[in-house]
Amino acid sequence: MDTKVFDMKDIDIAWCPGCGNFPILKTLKRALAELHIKPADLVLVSGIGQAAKIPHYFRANFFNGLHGRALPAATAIKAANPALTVIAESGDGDMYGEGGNHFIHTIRRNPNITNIVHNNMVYGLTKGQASPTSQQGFVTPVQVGGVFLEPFNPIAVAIALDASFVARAFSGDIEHTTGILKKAVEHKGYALVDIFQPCVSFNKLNTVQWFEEYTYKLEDHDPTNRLKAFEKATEAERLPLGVFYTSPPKSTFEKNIGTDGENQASLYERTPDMKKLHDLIKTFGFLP
Amino acid sequence: MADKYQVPVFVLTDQYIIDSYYNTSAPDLSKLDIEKHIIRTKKDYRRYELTESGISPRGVPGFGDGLVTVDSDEHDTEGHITEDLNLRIRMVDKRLKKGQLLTKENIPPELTGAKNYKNLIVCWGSTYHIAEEAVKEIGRDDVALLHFKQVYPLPDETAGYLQKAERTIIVENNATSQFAKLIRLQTGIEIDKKILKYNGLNFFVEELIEKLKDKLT
Repeated sequence: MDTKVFDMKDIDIAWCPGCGNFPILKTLKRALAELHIKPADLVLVSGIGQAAKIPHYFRANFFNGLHGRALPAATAIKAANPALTVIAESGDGDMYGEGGNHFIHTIRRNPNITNIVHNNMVYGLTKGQASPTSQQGFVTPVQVGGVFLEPFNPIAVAIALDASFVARAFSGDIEHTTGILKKAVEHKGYALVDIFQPCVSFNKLNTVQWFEEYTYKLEDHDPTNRLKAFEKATEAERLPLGVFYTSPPKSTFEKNIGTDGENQASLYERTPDMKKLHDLIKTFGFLP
Repeated sequence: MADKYQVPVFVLTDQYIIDSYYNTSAPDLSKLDIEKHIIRTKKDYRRYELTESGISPRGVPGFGDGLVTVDSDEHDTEGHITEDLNLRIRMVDKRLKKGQLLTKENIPPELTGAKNYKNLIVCWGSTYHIAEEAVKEIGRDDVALLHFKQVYPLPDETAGYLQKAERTIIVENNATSQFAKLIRLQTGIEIDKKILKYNGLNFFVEELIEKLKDKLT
């Protein structure tokens, strides 16, 4: 399939020239085109931030909602119509900061969705404050003495919660990232893809050169080995890229609540079963 | 209402209702109308189409040929973020039109007690049965009770009921008489007397009778 089906016409993109969001946009189009997923069968769900604007530059169904709240909406969209491909995509601030609680509990629910996080270690939309993944010592106009908080480690947290698929990529490597995104979308269950990206305007520490120097690709790594995956996730000298972990198969949220069961109809096709409701009410012991 | 007008609807409850047990008959489900307000989208579907009523027909992803594109920031008819100031005005006007439509479906307040009242007691929500019993016990032919099932938008009949009374008394389970403030904001009418309880418990009938007798003209 041609990636052009996802192209938007006559758009004014708000990202800075050189922004890591551009290659991610390109990579996502490529991965989905290679998987033959049509715009009408796809829903992009995002929160707030520069990364969260991605649905405005991508032809598909989308729900660009509230700050940090992409994951609960994405979970519900998938549950309402399990036939859709649902991708929740935002930045590190939105997903791990404002949406940190949703991040944890979405992993526990295990909906069959892909969670893409553009991780540039800074709040770019609001012009350069420290984000949950900012490195210690990172100086900003707000953190004038440098960040002293321990950076959030999404990969280690996800593995600790036995997330069904956990990966990290780098926006500069389109080939490698396309492969990871395809695996994540095809994976049955919650799939996290944290993508390192440079913020050319507000993060002068974690540049393209920095990512190239301080990352390396996982090789001969067995993603079913959880302890080894956790060990890799906590490496700090050089940060590994690739699929860290895949859990043993587990049921999805939509299977567990029954919308992806024997009855495959989407919610919009269903009507309440009044007989069942009546029978249920009768069990409450009302007056005759 | 939420589905038809595509607005958030808040159903207020409180601990008194939630903690109450009583005998009641089973609801009659045969009277329930199941309304659906979702459409099959066409290829040129626009989620925020500007319409006469202000309501844009609602499609869902996967049903029809169109794309469903939804945004929380100000947007154009296709759901894409906009900074077009004129479009912003049109979108705000569109949403406000829905507010006007909503008032046509207001649940009116319910008047019980004397038809020709001098004293009008106002209450809302879970104070209803307590106030109703207190008014009955007081047994005067110039006292009526006006109970609101819907507090916002404030039903149109509100001012008329209040103006007919020589004295208005509000009974509320909060410290600042929130509903009286809303009535003043919406109608300009100041409620004469306030009976407020805010120690965390609901009103008791005997207690309310005493307090009402004190305030009645």
